[in-house]
Amino acid sequence: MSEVLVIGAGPAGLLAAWVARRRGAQVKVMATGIGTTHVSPGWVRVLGIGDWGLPGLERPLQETLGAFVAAHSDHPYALAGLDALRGGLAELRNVGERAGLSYWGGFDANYRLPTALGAVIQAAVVPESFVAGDLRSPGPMLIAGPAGWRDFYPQLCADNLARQGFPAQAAAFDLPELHTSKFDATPVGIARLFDRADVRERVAAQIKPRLDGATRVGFPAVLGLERSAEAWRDLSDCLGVPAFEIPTLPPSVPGIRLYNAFKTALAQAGVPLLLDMTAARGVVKNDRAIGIVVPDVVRDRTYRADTIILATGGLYGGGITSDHTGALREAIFGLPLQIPGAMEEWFNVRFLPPQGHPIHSAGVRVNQEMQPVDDFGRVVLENVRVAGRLLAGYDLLVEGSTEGVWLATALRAASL
Amino acid sequence: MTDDFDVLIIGGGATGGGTALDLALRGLRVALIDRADLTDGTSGRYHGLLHSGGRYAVRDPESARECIAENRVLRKIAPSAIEDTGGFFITTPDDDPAYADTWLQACHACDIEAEEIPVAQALKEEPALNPRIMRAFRVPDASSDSFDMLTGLGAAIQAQGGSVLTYHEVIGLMIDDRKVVGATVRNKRTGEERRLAGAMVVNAAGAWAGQIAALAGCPVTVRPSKGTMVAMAYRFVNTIINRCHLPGDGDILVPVGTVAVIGTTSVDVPDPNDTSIQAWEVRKMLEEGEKMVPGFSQARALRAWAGVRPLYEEGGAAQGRDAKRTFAVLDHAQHDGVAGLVTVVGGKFTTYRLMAERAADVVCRQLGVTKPCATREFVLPDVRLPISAPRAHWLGHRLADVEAAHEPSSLVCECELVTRADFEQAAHAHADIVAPWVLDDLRRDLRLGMGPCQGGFCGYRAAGLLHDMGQQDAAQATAALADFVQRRWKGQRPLLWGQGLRQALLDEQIYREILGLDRLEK
Repeated sequence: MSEVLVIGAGPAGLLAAWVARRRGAQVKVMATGIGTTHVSPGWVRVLGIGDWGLPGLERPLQETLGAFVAAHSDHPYALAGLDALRGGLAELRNVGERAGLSYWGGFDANYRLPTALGAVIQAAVVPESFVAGDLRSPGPMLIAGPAGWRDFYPQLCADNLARQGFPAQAAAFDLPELHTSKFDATPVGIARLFDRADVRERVAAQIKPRLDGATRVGFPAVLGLERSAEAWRDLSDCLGVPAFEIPTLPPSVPGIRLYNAFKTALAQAGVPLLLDMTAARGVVKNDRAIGIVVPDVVRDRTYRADTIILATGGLYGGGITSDHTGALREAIFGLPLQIPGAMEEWFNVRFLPPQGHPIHSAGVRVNQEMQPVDDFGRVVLENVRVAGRLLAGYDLLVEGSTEGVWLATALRAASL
Repeated sequence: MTDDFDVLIIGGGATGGGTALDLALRGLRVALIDRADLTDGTSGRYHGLLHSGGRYAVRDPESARECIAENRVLRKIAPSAIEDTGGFFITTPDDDPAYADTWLQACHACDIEAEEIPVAQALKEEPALNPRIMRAFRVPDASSDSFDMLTGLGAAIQAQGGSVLTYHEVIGLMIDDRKVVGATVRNKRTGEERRLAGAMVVNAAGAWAGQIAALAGCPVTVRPSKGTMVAMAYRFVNTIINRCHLPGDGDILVPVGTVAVIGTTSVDVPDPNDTSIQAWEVRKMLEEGEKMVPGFSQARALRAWAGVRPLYEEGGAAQGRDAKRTFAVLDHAQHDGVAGLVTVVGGKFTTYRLMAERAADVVCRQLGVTKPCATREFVLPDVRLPISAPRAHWLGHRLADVEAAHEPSSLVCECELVTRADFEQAAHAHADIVAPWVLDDLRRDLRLGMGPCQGGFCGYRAAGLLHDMGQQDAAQATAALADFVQRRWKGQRPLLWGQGLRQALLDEQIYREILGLDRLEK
């Protein structure tokens, strides 16, 4: 049986490990720590339509994607292929279903969802608990949050929605636990409260009299952690109108739910998840990667594998390191990097420029097999595959392609 | 007197604030005017070193004497804005060892208490210092907080019946028969223009003094000299560290609050508004820092900024480091035949009170006021929020208070431990809460957004709280948030590598992907 070592426990690494295992490999995941699931909003964005100059605002997402790929032949979507995107989504659903996380939507159209600030964001596929927030349907909404909680402001959300023409009002509910000493005031702490039926009843009882014609109620994305499907359904039943979740400041509860789903699925499939293990460097022999060296107290240990999948997350995840001289380095094998000019040009003078920051395109160039290539397109290490944010040539935030790229490239990288 | 004010003071930095207080204490009705917030100019963009004068003893003894004398005064009158860190001058292997003796003699000649201490003692007190230093000297430097200093000056001016007009830009001086009789100001937010009459006008606009004087047709040649500073995310030292050599780039390290600030460069700039930072300046700071504290350049750099020194030498052509740091008070009646206008220019933050006294003396003589200067004894009010007293140079002080409050969710800014109550109190006290720059003003009061996340989390929270307070509508609160994160970005952008770069990518993800701020800005 082929041995696969996945480096990185973010969404791309977890999905790649799952896919490789399903296809018969013996798989290990090794990572410094948990990855970006814990800061991911929870939805699956594939491509924002109309956000960036493509005509046909309401064309089917599928068609827009096709046009996009045709116009960007070096984009990870073009290299991995749109079939890989579909395949990756199917595997995500598969992992989710096992943990009771249901994902809605597909490649027909994007949902239009409210953000915690009351902006509108597009996502192709969303957790069931987000669906009722779709702004394409006209029902007025009530935005509700715990009074005095620092990570969600219902009034600001509702008022910004209202000024864009989406009828919304706000309500705060009392959550006495929040004001007790030593309470975990992060989204996780609140989500654990919503795992409890009595808390949900209390909250619904406060909200219900204030619906005032609202046909749905938006909450920060804290509706349960271990029993989230039940929490969302039960709260909706108690309210008599659908509840929906709105992502807010990290840590992201929807992201943690997904991470937990992966953890369970991988454990059941016999894939060890080795955290707190930092791969210091790769070992290469005759243009092949032999394994990974992990420093240990007594001696360095080498983990060998037939195939190594790098899902180390690029600059954000630590897969690319940088220093004050502007030197960028792929952290494990020193793979060739695509770098957008000198350090002074990496970032725009605006914090949120419409065209994005050039640095986002930095990363490892790959071929259609997700093998790293050099400037001339030659494969550098034939048994290494790259997935997710370590890849060059796309701006996930501007394109709205964050999750789509990890789905497609992880599937492709694991299709050995 | 029928004027609206007796004296208008233009420039809300330390010099202007000090002059306004000096005049107010002598019984005059004053208005302090700035185009932005107090300290928005050079006072708020410096490293925070209250000089002992040691830095100038060899080449500019007059400045050195002024510094040590004022250092002693400021410790008495502004204890709440000064942390008595003390200072070291160290001879590193990169410095000329012969300079130390010359320097020590010069210090003594200037009445600066400089004493040599064993290198081992210096290293014991400051273990992060380069162990290869050859000599070490102790001097009475201190770390000062110009935000607290100016807030204290502003409060004292108002307590004396004076006015503080921030975000009012002087767009013209009213001149009647070769006499300045007031100023026309424009409210930066509303655009509303007002004419303020004043028997005298003091031009304390620092690096911008030439532009203000020009409004009355008077030539004042200020040589703006830009200095870049970098705040590192660690308080490496608890003592101010100076290199014992002729002043150069990146040879001062100042512990300020929870960080350490290294400065500076010295670059002549034609435009005092030019606070842009070049990549070489940042690299230079890190390389020089390495000579004082090994490993310096590997640590996380938090934020870079630049201030523009208002160098002035009458008739002199010296620039940059060669220019003296002394100051001048120009009575334009004598210089240019334009009465009613006095310019005070040059100098240093450390000598602001003395500059103010001299400028006020000239004004009082002309107005026939005989009451003497009182600022040498007048103790500035302690304006810090109750939670930050005693002076919190380590987060532990504040943490104990926050923990005692028993409410974890009340922490709005986790990096700097700003609570909801702090925030609301400061916001209520703000003069113009609907202004788009309100969060940046509150930052100067609270240190909001000045820690490692640089506003990534607290920016959204602050905007939500502002909106909940009911005075800003959603569009205004969102605009305030956009303004705040953009200003935070300015200081991060020159330092984006390593962990700081990763933090910036997270912040961008929060505001672009999770919150969609860019979509509301459109």
